[in-house]
Amino acid sequence: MNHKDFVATLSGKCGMSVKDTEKYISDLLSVMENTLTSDKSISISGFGVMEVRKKMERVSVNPSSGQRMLIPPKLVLNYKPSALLKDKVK
Amino acid sequence: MDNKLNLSQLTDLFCEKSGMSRNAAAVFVKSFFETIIERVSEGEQVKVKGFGTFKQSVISDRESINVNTGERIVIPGHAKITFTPDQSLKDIINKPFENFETIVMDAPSTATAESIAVSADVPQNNVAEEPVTTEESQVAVAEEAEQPEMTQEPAVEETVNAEAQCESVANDTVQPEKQQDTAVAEQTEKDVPKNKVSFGRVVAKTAMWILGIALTALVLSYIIWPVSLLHLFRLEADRLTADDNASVAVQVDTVAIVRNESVISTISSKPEKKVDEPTQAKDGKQQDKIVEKTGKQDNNPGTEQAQAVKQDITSKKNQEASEPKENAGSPAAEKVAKPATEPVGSGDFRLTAADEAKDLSLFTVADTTSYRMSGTMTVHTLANGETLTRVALKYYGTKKMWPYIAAYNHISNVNSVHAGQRLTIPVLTDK
Repeated sequence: MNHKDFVATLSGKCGMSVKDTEKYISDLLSVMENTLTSDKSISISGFGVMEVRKKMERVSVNPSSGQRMLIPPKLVLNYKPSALLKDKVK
Repeated sequence: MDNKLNLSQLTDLFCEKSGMSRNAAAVFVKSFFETIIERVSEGEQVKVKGFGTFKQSVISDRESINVNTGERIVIPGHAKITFTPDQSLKDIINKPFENFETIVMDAPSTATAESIAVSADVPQNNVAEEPVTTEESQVAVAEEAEQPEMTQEPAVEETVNAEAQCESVANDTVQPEKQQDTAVAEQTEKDVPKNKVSFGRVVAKTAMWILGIALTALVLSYIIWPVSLLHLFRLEADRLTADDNASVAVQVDTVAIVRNESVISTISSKPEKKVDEPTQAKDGKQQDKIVEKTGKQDNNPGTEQAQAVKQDITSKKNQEASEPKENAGSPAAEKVAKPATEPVGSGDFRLTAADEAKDLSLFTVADTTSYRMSGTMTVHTLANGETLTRVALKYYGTKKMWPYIAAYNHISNVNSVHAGQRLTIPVLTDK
């Protein structure tokens, strides 16, 4: 389901126009981003947990050239599905 | 990571942001996530722009072992839900680390020209392909970074459980940033420094290798050379000792043979002697380290002497059947021997004072005691470097008894026993 379909589905559910839902989606996303960047995690029951995790820097090797490089540390968004959801999928 | 947001809190925030009524907001947010859940559960991939992609991934069966029983079991495959955030979202989240780039390493400590050169190749959002634009973007980013940082200071400080951890990695973070700066300056020169540095490094490495090998060779040579010399000496010594035995042996041997009935008649049966040789015999007895030739010569004169000795001693002891054999071999020699050996001491087996000073007690076997070989004690296999004297020492407690072993085993040339040769060791009983 691509973005267009998703928006369509959501607008149907909420009874809003596609344009509005688009806007509200971006609003929701920005709220989520704010919380995530301010070091908070989002936990929604039945859905899962969204949190920011730090990846330590590491040395990796380019297998063909054999060149070693240092990959810098970074922050990544981590999603962990809730148990309910996992069971549904199994 | 001090706080978890739940759905209601999220809804509140959303409500504020969007200006929707609370109820509508709640509905919206709820259906947002529910749609995702529904579609993903059905196996459909859900893609939300600015957010990311939710989809199911299949995990295949795998073989494993039951930890308790140790028998093989199959863990069945299943599906799991994965989420990959959009690039824009990734960047937003990684903002604190956005200036970091991967560094190419040659050696653990270096992170200079090379790293810069390669980092230019690593695709990053900030790094454009042309140096100029890169520069600009870097500056632009830096400026932007400053502004949001100022507004978000308190937030940033919190965010900085991330950054606190960054600081623990402080040195490394400083480095990449520094390199970032220098990268800007030096990107135009990227090829040249890279080549120079790596070549120099290669040269240094090979130089070190050569040095290491040279040193090792030197040290080893100091150890091996003397050891090998020692070994050679030892060989010499063995050989010479053997010769000693030979020169002695011949004489004593002959005696033993006679007394004990065993047939080593070959030793005594080489007596094409000249009269001169007895004197040589004496020299031979005297212990020259001069090797095999003399040894062999000794054989003959020794025989003569032995003959003389034999006359003496065997007259006191048993005269055995081998005597006739001996005689058969060298009747002439015998007759020659007698007068020839007289000057040496009329068959007296004793040595000169000079010789006696040396440990030649082997000579006196026949004099002092006599034994009878009355059966086999055991079988001995000669080890490398073992001589008959050593074997005798081992079994009889004295080297003097080696002739008995030689006789019992019918060893014709006591010099050339070899490793692995089996000797039957006789039991010696007093007469």
